[in-house]
Amino acid sequence: MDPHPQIAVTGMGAVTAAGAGVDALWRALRDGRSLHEPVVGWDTEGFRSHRVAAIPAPLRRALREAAPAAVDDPTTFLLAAVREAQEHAGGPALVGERIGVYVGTSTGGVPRWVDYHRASVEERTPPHGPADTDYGAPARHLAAALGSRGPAVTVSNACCSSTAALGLALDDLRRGAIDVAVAGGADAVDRFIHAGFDLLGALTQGEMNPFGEGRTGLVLGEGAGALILETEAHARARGVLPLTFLAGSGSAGDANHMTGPDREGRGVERSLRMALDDAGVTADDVDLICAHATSTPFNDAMEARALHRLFGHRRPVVPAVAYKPVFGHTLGACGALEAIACVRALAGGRIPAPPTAGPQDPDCPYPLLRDEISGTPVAVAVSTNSAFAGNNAAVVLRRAGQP
Amino acid sequence: MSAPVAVTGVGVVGAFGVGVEALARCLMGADLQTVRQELTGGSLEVGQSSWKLRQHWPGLPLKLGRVDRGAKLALIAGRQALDTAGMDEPEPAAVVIGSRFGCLLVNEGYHRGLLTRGYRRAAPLLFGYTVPSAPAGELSIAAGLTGPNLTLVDGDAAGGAAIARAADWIREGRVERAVAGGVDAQGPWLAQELYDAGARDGDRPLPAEGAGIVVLESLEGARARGAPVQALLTGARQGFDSPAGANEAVRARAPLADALGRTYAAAAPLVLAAMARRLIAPGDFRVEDELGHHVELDVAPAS
Repeated sequence: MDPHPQIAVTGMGAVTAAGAGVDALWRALRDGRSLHEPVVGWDTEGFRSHRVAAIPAPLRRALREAAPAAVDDPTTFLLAAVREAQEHAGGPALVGERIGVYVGTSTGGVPRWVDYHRASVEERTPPHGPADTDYGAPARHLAAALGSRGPAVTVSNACCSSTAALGLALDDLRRGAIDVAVAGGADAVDRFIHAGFDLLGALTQGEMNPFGEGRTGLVLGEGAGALILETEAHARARGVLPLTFLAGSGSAGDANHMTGPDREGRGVERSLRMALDDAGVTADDVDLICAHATSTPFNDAMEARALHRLFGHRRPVVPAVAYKPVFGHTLGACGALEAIACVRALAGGRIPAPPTAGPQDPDCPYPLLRDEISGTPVAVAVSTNSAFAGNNAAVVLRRAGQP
Repeated sequence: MSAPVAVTGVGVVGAFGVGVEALARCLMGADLQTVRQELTGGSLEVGQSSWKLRQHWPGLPLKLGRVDRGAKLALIAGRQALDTAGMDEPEPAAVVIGSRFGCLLVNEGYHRGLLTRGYRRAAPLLFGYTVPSAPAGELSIAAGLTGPNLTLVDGDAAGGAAIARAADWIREGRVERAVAGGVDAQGPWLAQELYDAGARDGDRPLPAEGAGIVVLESLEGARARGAPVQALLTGARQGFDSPAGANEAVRARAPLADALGRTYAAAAPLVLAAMARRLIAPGDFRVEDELGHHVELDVAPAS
């Protein structure tokens, strides 16, 4: 066994407010257009925020019809994203026992639980029983669909769940525990989630404005992102070329507060440093930073401070992007979707600029990219996410063909 | 075989009580603490412990006083594990926790409030705990542990899977030490769910809450700092078999469940703790559930 195998990304799939598919997501990022729309699925009376980046209703109906009966929306989105990723990676060869499933999710089967619980509180007959209303339900449905007998892992580290899940998949592939990993994240938004973030004051009534002056918060989104990972040797043996490499991962806790980040971003910095070390690169090798950037006052300030300490010495400035203003904050899915955006940037040498408005906040000492970059080789990208409970996770992606 | 990882700290809490001595008494035949929950359609006896958090973590920061029951169980077991491992100071250790039910008890309280009292009177602070990562997060905050922080929710296998992940990170040099284990709390709403799912009186094992937390580190590292090596973790495997409609009573299995109750994600860490403290003989064991999750841990004596 190769003691230091390169782990290739060979397929990707996405379901977002932009529609089904990675191409739809990429077009939306290049258009730089917000996909945030007024909520139509639940009552928002009394809420401060009334918009989400929801899966378009016709697509949601189609995905539900295509999914097995009795699954929650995150599972529905995940299964569709994985189908696309499998086809992208060469299809039927990726069915077998030595496949591991690694899903990051904030809500898992909870949207299904919410329907069940609401009926019980309102003393109505529930639409279904309590089965598969737990956090691990999407990973189990996926593992069953794939016929996998490897690990069926669910990471529930809130908003950095799928970034951490990618890291666990990387670990298991490196040590030869599996041949192929299907890794990603999925989440859905409902009144339960929307009300909670609204009550916490985390949602904006306007547009998201990451790292911007006067930013007031985020807009929730939903969807799923999936990546097929395998050793480079395994991919080449079946005639598939790597799209890019997942080169490293890292994670760290703030050990500070359940809902408030370390104000200096020390957990983000430790997580990024661990990921860079794991990938065998340094901050001087990085060409693209995909930030968590929720447009909340404290997250963006602490994250920008961490990026400044790590990358602030670089000239020209390493471009940093933030894509939640387009497809919303998709909670546990955001890490997988942002990793997919990085893979596209690495493969095509094009970096879409996030939609931003107004001046940068002086309290955020790292600039976000303002204009799209194209034609410039992008060899190494980092993507970082942070979460409730002071969790931070990061991954490093490297362009295929780079030493 | 992979390099052994040392177990240097152990902490336990459950319907048997708080601490290894309580666990030992239970394994010698003492009764579990139980609560009979009156439910729609009948009643269900569950194993539920009784304690005051601050008696078991003196000086705990005040901001942690309102944490949910699952996080409290993790803090009580975690403090014991840190103490027995001689970990008194903040350090970049990993925290890896598994839970089957996660924060579903908190979700129930928050969602019931949202439905019955309305949006304007719902509890924002409670929403902050509607994440399964609360026990791992709170433990890292209370002890100042700034390494990787991970929460797994892989059914009854989650606690054993958390220990397996932490051991891998130590073997591969990602961290020097890890605090790892599993936790699942019990409460009236969950009891109703378990009752409806068929866990009625007379069935065994008794549904019971619990937390088992261990400190793991490399054998060399433990010896270098003079830490007490209590057992060796020599291997671990996590897997999944689609249950295809299998019967829960047949498929859910864990060692010691007849004595400790069915403790869900805490089962594997509690068994490891019992082996580490020589309450039962160290050896290989498996925990599996009716959902299809399973995990195996290989445990050897320290010398």
